[in-house]
Amino acid sequence: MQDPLHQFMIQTLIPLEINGVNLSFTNSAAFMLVATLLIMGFQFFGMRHKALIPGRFQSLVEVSYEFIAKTVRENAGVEGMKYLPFILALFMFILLGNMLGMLPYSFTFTSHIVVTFALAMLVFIIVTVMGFLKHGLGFFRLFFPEGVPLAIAPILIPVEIFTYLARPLIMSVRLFANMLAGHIILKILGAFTIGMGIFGVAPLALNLALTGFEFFVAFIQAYIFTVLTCLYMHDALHLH
Amino acid sequence: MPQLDIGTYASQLFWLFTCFGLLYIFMSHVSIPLIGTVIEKRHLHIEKTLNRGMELEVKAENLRVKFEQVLAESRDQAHKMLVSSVHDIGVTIAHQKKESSEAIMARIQNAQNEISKQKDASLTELKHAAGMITSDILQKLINIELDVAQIETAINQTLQSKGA
Repeated sequence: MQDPLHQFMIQTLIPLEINGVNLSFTNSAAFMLVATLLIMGFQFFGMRHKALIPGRFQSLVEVSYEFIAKTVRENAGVEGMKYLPFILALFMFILLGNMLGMLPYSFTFTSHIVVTFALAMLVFIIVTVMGFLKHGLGFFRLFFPEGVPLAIAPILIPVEIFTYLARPLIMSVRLFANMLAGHIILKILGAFTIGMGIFGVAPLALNLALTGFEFFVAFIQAYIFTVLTCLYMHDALHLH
Repeated sequence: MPQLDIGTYASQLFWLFTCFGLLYIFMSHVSIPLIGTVIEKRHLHIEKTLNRGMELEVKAENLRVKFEQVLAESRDQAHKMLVSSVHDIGVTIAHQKKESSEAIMARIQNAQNEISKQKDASLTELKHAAGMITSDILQKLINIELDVAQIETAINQTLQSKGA
């Protein structure tokens, strides 16, 4: 049986080294580039007619836009709409990363903790900077909401700060672990199907159902990442 | 576990930020303004059409009110014309009736005068004939010749005394 972790191997396609740092173009980079180009192509070609009455393709682009715009409006408030390009880019990038991973022989770049952590850190930094720019030092109010008895401050403040700092870790691990676990299970069940001969029908059926479920997980994880980003933005903009 | 291979991190991060940066720039400068403009244009178009619809509705309502006013005025006018016509016809009929009855009365009067004239003429002739017959009879029976005029006078006196 092939190693179920083999699918997550980073393979160098075009070696590249700058100042001794390995920046090679890998299978991961290739799928990031494919995802980026697919999203750009999808939006560019979808909107090429700029039709008042949209066709099927344009409707799809507009639906994806409206879906995220609505999520931002509802979770981050109207002020959050300024960051719509960032949030839409984030959602589409993660969604495509997850979905492309469902293709056989492909690579899931969102199954690497470094990628998901980098994205979560990006969100964390943007949200923190946004909070300080809007409220100055008043942003620290986030860790001790108004109306809370002063007596519990010694417990509440450390807990709140810890929760705040843990955000990027929680976000990145959730996405990474979901993608990793899903793909490992699919791979293991695939190996069982081959290994069990005629009885391989049972793991095959399970694999089929799980593949459908994985598509759902791919979408829902991208959406959760986006919604959490919006909620954190809401916290930074409105301090609870 | 490939995820823990630190040697690949730099490459992954470099390509992640390159691709994501490219995507972000495309979104913020090309696609979102484009989609936003199209959706905004559509909203404006819908709003414009709705406003035009509301304007037309108000216009239609005004026209309906005006139409009903004109209809009511026309009905009123028609009623007045009907009443006036009925009155005129009544007056004309009464007038013509009066004229006709006057004409008939005049004709009756003429006819009566004529009858009376003819009666008088006939009576005069009858008297004259009676005078002549009487004169002839007297001459033939008793051979007395009397003037016809005298006999007529006598007849007249007799008739007057009998109140004829």
